[in-house]
Amino acid sequence: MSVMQEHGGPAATPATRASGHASGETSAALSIRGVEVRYGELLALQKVDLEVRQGEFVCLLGPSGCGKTTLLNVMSGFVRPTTGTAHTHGRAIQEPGPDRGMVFQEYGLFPWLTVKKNIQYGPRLKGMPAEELERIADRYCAMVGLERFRDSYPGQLSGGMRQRAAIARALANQPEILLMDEPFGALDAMTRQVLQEELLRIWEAQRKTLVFVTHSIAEAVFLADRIIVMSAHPGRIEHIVDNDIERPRDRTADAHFEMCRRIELLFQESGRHGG
Amino acid sequence: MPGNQTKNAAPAALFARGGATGRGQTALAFLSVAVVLILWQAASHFGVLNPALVPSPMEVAASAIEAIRDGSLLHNTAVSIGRVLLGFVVALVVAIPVGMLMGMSRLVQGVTEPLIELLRPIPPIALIPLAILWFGIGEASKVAIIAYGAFFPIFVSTLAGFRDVDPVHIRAARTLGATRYELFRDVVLPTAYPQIVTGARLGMSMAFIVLVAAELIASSAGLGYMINYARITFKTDEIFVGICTIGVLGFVLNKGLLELERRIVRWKYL
Repeated sequence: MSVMQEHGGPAATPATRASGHASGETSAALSIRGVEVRYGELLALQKVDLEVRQGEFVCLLGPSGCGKTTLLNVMSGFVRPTTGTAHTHGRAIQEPGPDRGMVFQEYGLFPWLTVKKNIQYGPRLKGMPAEELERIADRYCAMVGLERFRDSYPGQLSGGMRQRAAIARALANQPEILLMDEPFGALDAMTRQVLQEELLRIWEAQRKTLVFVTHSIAEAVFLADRIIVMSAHPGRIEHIVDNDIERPRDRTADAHFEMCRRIELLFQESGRHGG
Repeated sequence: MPGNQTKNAAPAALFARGGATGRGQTALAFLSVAVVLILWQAASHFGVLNPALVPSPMEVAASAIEAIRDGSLLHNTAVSIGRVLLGFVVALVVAIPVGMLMGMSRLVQGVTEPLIELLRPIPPIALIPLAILWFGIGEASKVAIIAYGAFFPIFVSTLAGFRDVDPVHIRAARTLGATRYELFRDVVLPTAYPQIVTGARLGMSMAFIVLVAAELIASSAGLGYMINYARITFKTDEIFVGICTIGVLGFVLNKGLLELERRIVRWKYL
């Protein structure tokens, strides 16, 4: 059954609120140490320590104002920590880069480019030859099931299809890490479930490191290896939960509900859920 | 996803319906113009209208044929179009960079915006005396007035276009590895481009509106000159020929530019 701990299990790289792991962690996909983010007087993120292993699927879960998006933006390089350090594969994160692909809730597709051109955008910047770009478009359109819509513009697609295209675009650029900021937040419940399943299928095939921001407990429990439970005012990590429910997962399984219940209780304990 | 198919089919159906309405509207437009012309002709025929002030459509048509035959209409039209184009190009060359710099820099915007907002309410016609003093009574003053008139629509649209850039597009491009130059080329410009094209179309319309006023300045050719000269010689039918020519030219140019706009920014009209 699921193990829940404040500290990582034996197989896990320590990921605790207390830092102080000095060496041997340069291989961590993401290493956040003593990071605080302040906007003037506002403490958006309080003293965060977190390590994400290569190939791990991590969910940042919490109510709005808990700093989950801020933490993701520290990882992406859009937000510089006020104090502390952020590294990816041992390199200091200075700014956004193609090694950390990103998927946004608002899709962020370029409306003036077709699905195919959107997907090819990153590789094209890298100077890939035309035949290679064609292969990339074929492969990633197929991966997200958009073969028939490769020449459509984003404005012609439904929300679910847009997010598929956005995921394909991020993956086509071959990032080491995929950062997803409430990617399914704007979708209806049915589409959301389909995309969750597809995301897992893609992740299981590619084994990219994946950091996924959500405020849905069920989504985090269905997707993640590890759930970072955050709370607000100030934004901070409250618990880190190892979610070792066996894959492929079943939303109707007792284990799933049990895990959801436990996390719900964690939020009730801290009295911050829904804040 | 089974829902996709319907989602994709919907715009096509809408488009077909739009096409049908489009044809219906064209027929309706022709009909309304025809009815007005027939009523006008009837009014002239039965002496309701004073022929010295309002010539009949037939007289206007005869006068137009005469003006075409002796080459004066073509010549005056060509001269006017030349002025409009020159003034329009001057406006483009000034308005696009100014709009771009203001749209992209808060500092430039802060410095220039009050000046432009003060200039904007001044109608181009009010500047004619100044234009004569500054540029003389030759081509330069006419082109300057047209350029001034065309400047604002182009400038306002360009500014809006560059301000319109969606932060999420910038963020997406940066995570895909775009440099500052690539952000400008691949995100900022494509965002602003459709609005610049719209501004150019509106600027072209404004250039035509200002044309006649500009040509009131001591000109010896052009549609404005033609209208003004016809007034002096009391040939109302020629005034009507001039007015109708400007109307038709403006209409055709606007339609043409609208079509061009739809073609080059296809993704906006899905």
